[in-house]
Amino acid sequence: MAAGSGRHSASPPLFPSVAAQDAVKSLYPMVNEEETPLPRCWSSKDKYSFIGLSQNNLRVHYKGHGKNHKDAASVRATHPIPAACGLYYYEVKIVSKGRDGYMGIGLSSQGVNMNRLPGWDKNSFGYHGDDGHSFCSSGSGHPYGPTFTTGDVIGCGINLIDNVCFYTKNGHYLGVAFADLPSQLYPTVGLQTPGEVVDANFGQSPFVFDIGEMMRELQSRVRNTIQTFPVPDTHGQWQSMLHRMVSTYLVHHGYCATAEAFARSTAQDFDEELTSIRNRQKIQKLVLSGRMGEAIDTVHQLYPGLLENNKNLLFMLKVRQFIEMVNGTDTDVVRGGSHSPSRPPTQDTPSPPPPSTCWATNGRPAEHSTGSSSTPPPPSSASTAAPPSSSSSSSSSSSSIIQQHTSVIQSTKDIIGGGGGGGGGGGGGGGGGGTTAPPPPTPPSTTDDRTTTTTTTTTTTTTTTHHLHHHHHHHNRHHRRPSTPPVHLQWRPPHQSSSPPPPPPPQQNPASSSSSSSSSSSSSSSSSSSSSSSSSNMQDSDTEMECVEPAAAAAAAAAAAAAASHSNGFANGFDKHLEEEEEEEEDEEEEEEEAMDIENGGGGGGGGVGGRKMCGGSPAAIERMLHFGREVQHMSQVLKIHLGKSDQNKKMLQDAFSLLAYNDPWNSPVGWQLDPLQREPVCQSLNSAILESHQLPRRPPLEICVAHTRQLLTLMSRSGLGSCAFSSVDHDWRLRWNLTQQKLNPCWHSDVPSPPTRPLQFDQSGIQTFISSTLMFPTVLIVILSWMSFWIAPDATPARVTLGVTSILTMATQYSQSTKNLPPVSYIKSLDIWMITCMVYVFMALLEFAIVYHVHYRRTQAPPPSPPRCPAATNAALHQTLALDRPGVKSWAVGWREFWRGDTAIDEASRVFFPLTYFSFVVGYFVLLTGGQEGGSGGDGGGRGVIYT
Amino acid sequence: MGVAVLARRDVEHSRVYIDQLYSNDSQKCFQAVSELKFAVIGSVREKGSIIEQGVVVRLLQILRAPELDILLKTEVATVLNSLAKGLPEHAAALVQAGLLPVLWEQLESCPSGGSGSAYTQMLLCCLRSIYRQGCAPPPPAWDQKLLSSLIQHGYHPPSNQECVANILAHACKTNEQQQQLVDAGGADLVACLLCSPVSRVQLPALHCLTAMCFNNERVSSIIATKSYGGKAVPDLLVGLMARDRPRDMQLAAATALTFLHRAGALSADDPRIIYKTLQCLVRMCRRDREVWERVEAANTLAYLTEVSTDLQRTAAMTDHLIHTMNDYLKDTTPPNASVPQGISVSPVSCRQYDNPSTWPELMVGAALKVYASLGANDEDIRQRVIKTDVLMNTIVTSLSAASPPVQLAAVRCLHSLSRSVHTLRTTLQDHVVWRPLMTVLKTSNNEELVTVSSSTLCNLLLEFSPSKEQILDQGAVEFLCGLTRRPHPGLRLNAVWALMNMAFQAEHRVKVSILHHLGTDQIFRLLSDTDVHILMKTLGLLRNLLSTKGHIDQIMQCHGKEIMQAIILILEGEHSAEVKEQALCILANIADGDIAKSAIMSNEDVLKKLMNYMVIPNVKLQIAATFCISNLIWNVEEGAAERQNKLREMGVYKLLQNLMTTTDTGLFDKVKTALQQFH
Repeated sequence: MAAGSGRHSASPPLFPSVAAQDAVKSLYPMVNEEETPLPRCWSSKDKYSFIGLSQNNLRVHYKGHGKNHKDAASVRATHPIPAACGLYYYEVKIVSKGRDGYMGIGLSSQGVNMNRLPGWDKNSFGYHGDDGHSFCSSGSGHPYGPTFTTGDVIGCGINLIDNVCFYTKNGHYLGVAFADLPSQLYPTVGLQTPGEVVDANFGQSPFVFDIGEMMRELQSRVRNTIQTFPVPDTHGQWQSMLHRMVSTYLVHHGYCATAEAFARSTAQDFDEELTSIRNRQKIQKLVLSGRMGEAIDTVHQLYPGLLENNKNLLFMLKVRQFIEMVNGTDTDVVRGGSHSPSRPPTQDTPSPPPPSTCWATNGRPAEHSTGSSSTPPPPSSASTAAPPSSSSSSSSSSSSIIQQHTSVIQSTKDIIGGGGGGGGGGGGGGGGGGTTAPPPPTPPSTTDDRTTTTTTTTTTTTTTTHHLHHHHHHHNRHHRRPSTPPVHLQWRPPHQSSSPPPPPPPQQNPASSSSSSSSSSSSSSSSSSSSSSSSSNMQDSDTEMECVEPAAAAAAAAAAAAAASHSNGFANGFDKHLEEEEEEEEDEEEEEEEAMDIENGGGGGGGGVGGRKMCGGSPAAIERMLHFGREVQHMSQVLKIHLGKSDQNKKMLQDAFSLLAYNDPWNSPVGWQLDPLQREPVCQSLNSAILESHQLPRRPPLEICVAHTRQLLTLMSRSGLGSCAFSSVDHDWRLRWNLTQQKLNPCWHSDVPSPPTRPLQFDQSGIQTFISSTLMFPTVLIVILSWMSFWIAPDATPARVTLGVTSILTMATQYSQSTKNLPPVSYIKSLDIWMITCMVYVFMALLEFAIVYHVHYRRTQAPPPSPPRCPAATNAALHQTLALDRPGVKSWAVGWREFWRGDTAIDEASRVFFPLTYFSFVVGYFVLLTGGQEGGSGGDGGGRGVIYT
Repeated sequence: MGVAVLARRDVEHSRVYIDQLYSNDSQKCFQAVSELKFAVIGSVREKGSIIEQGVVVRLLQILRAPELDILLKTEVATVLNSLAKGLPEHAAALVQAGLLPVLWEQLESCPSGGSGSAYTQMLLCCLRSIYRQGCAPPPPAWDQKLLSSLIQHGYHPPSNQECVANILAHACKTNEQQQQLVDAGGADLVACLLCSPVSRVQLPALHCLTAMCFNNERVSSIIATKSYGGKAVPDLLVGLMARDRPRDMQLAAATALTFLHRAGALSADDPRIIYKTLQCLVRMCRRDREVWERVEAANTLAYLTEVSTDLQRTAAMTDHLIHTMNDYLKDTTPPNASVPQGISVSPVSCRQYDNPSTWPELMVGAALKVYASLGANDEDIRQRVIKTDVLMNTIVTSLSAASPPVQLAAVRCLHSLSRSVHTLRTTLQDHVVWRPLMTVLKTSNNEELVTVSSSTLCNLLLEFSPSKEQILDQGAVEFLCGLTRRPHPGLRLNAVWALMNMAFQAEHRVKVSILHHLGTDQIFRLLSDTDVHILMKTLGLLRNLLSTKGHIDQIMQCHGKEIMQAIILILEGEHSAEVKEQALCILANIADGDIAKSAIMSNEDVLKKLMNYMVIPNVKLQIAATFCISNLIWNVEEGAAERQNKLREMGVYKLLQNLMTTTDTGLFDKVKTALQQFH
């Protein structure tokens, strides 16, 4: 309970401090704070010694003697004003005008003498309160505005577009003071006589002057300038150019239906054939769904020679394939050895499994079908699986571990895994004993064992892939367009339910593809067939996932088995098959493996991420993955020899292999690679390469244009052109683009996703949960434990003492543990309060026993008590003791005299008093914590509230 | 266009359709009107020639004919609309031909439910075009029914909204109309139109609002409380005044808010006024704006800041306003400046900016008005204004040679500046401003101008003003006495005031001259004036005339009888205590003179009145009466004992003794002094 409420109430307090920071940031949204931080307070370094700072470096006071001009002192803000602000503004409130009110407010460059008021020196500008004059880099001022004194709020603003500075007084605009300002100015104030105190507001709190309206004016001005920018437009060329840009973009990314519609409506034509676009689209689909193996094969098939000429690209794809294998989404695990480009595309390439069927059948029936299909007992499967695998020792050990599982479901997986292993071995060594484990549902008629196994395994993994893929995508989309996801999910099943009964016989396609082994004929036929099927699909749905499925659709039983194994992958824990294999992979990872091994036991329970397992959880798949990894490494070495060293490739490979070092790669530091978003760059480079090979531009002109513009904006901000603050490409462009996209193409969410953009989000709730669960909750338990002593008879001295002392010791350990993880700070953390209170409670429980024991002892010594004859001393002592507990006693609503029944009464009182006060403390603590943190800025290391004194 | 050219070439052709226009066959007529429509659209010359040919009469006839087809009438209205959009003269000719009554009549006969019908729309458009030309005399008093139907028409289609708003904006001129408009639900309509997304509707709606609010407290307070869509009208106006709105919209909204403020609906310290409106107007005065915007903004700003000292102070420090206004004085518009096309200024200044050669004058006038408002109350601001470069020269030249509006602005500015003693003695003296001022006073027959000028003259005639003597030499007395005979009460007041100022501690000859030129009969006339202020100032004048001993005797010798008559007149009349106090003070002054005393002593009536006032429960009157008595019995003067005896007989001594019990210290002192004089 404590943990739950703690998490709930503690999560918001972190935001106010962030929001307070953001109040400044939100004024200037276009400023890149990593490059050009915004001034947020006065600099404690960049000031003259007569200046004192307080209140988070926002209040400035004078502490010199202030006799004459030589005693002037000024202070600059921490950072210069970034040009990307467009319009920068800060306000200074005169808290006290001091003796003479010689205050100057203004701007100055870095390095201007701080022993002067702003405005007196070169590159320094100021407005002075004593005479209301403005000083523009000279000792003599010009009459500018009114004087200002205690209580006035003076604002200073820079319009970075026109490069002018203006002031405001109490919210009234005073007019332009300086023009032609240099760049990189700092907000500056200068004071000269004792007692002068000013407060600055850099945007942390609302301004007196309405700066927002001025910004809006500038924004509309800039926008107007852009919109009315003269374009040399003769005979509508401009218009057609824009059309062309859009159309090339659509073609480039393979939105072929949209492109067609657009071309029709704007009377354009595009250079590429429609089929070619569709082919590219298909490949992109494969890559984006993580089916890298198929994608590579399709590329081989459709664009022969492309990857051969571009080894680096091939390598990139392979590495990605490896990652997808780890992810459990790749289908090509079986054909591990077939990476050589000369090899013709084989059976599985044009025939990915039918996701729709899986989709339709999986889920509920999975368990039953599993039960029916898992006939072979685990031990036999293990023994059959062991021999064919090439590296016997590791494999056998892995299967022996599998035997530990008693689940029926696991056995099914074993079979398939073993079969798959056989397939893998066959790929490497010539198809030894793969026959020993034919999966029951597959008809072994025309194809050999290897093919059958392939199909099955493919089905298995793809289903996982598919599911995962959808899972991810669902989430992605959910982030991007909150309105569409339901459509996306609900829209699929109906369509598939119309198509699922797969008419073609399962063997037909594998047979045809295996027969047409020669590369040229097969590629042409398959491409044509796939394109035709895709086009037919395109007409009704544009999803295209189904375009290949009928060919591969296995028998219903096979699908059922696949579904079963698929569900296995989700249901069962994955364990240590990995580690033995690892040794051959990369020696440097050994230590980590050890660590992982240890963690494995607890990890299974604590993971809770939905049971995502490496390679979908299948041990054989892992084996194949490792095998593939070796090949990739080999390829990298070959590449190194041929093309020289490439840091990029090396890094890529290292990152990919690092995944193996973690038990749960998804949550590891290199886990980002498994994010489906990471497929997009690969997809793009592949797409670009294909287009390049056809002498088409690598990137669509529209993207280039946008990139140019974006670059231009950064350049503008760097070179001090303020207009960039009000011309946001991203916002306008993306918004409109998305809108038009959605209008043009109702199912664009199932098309290729937009360029990866994901807002950075820091999830603080993790820390909260961590603290609540690891610290708070145990301490609550310990405290409750200590109350057990109230129910134990006072006679049982050893039991009660032990209980109390143990609780105290545990508390102390907990406390020291908790402080160890947190940075040492001088103030009292709220966590400390929590811990100390808990400890006091435990201690009080022990103390209570002492009293009880004392009373009990006396009572047993004294004659049987009758209330009137109670010894006075005892009575008084007790009276005092119980006076502490009075509230509890009172709430008990028992009269004082009646209540007095001796030691058990104290225990009984404590049973109510302790829990009551303790839980009210717990509640109060979290309420207080929430309230206390709203004012605080910046939580401490543990993310807990800070109680300020 | 093509048609127009063709028509011009082929006179015969044009004859044909004009002839057909008079045909009784409605089909032929329709044909002709259609051709006419195409001929006039877009061609100013064609419009002129058609109007010259007197076709309008026939068109109106068609409109009026009840039996004719509505389609034909719509076509005719279209033609009339097109004609009205031509030059202002064309519109004037249409009005002359009696277009307006016909249109109103037709509109009235339109079913009010059929707002959307093309005919109604066209009628409204036609009316709008006429009114926008600024030459239509507003309907003297609106027909209530017509007005409410007009407002009903104004709700639905945006084109109607625009037309109705324009018509109302241009037609609403008098207080009565404003009231009628609000009673008919005009305020709700305007609030609704302000929320329209179409700027073509918002802008006339703003103008309409402005016209309704102008100088009308009741209407303004009603409008300020109206709201639409949950936002009060002033807030809607602030929204329209935002900096990213079109400039003319900002200006119109600021004007509307200004008028609301001046009519008392919004106070000066309302942030919407002191922050938003003021800043908006000052911003509009900037150099980078169009000339017409700057002039309009400055005029509005002058109006906004005319009264409130707070607003004057704020405006004076906002955005270098005083400097900006200085630009107005120096600004020379480029000679080939073109007339802005399609600007939508408020109906008040309609057609004012058509001639670029008048722009500098307009700007000078506007700037002087702003200066006048800024310097009205605050001496600091006045000094800053005075220091502006060419201001005094501009004022002097504008006074002598400029159009009346600019002269007026110059005099206003001078009036503001003359409120400063320092300026009176220095700058105004240096620039000899009284000379052109006197010229203006003597030559002009513009009453407002003369009023302001004479009030300025009042200030210039104050006794510490160095120009007093020179002005006197210029025959000011004669002129001012002439002014007292003017029918305009303001003028009379200013004249008497000036004379009073002039007579204060003046030489004897001046006083004589005043009395001579004014004449006792005129004094009587002034004393019987209905305006209390004039009465007071006249009494003040008498008091100033009868000030030092010598002067009192001399004047009383000549005019004693009349003066005593006048005083009795006042004392017997139904006047307020202040007036009677003045009269008693005059008596006291008279009693100060040696010979003049007899005038009072010999008049039992007056003495009884004095005693009467001593017992009246009004301390001020009692003081004045006692003061008069004590002057009469002043014992160093000869004949004092005699007077004392007489008064004692009348029971004055007793009265005085009774008054010793008073609690008022002022009265007590006077009574004590008087008692001491009694032997």
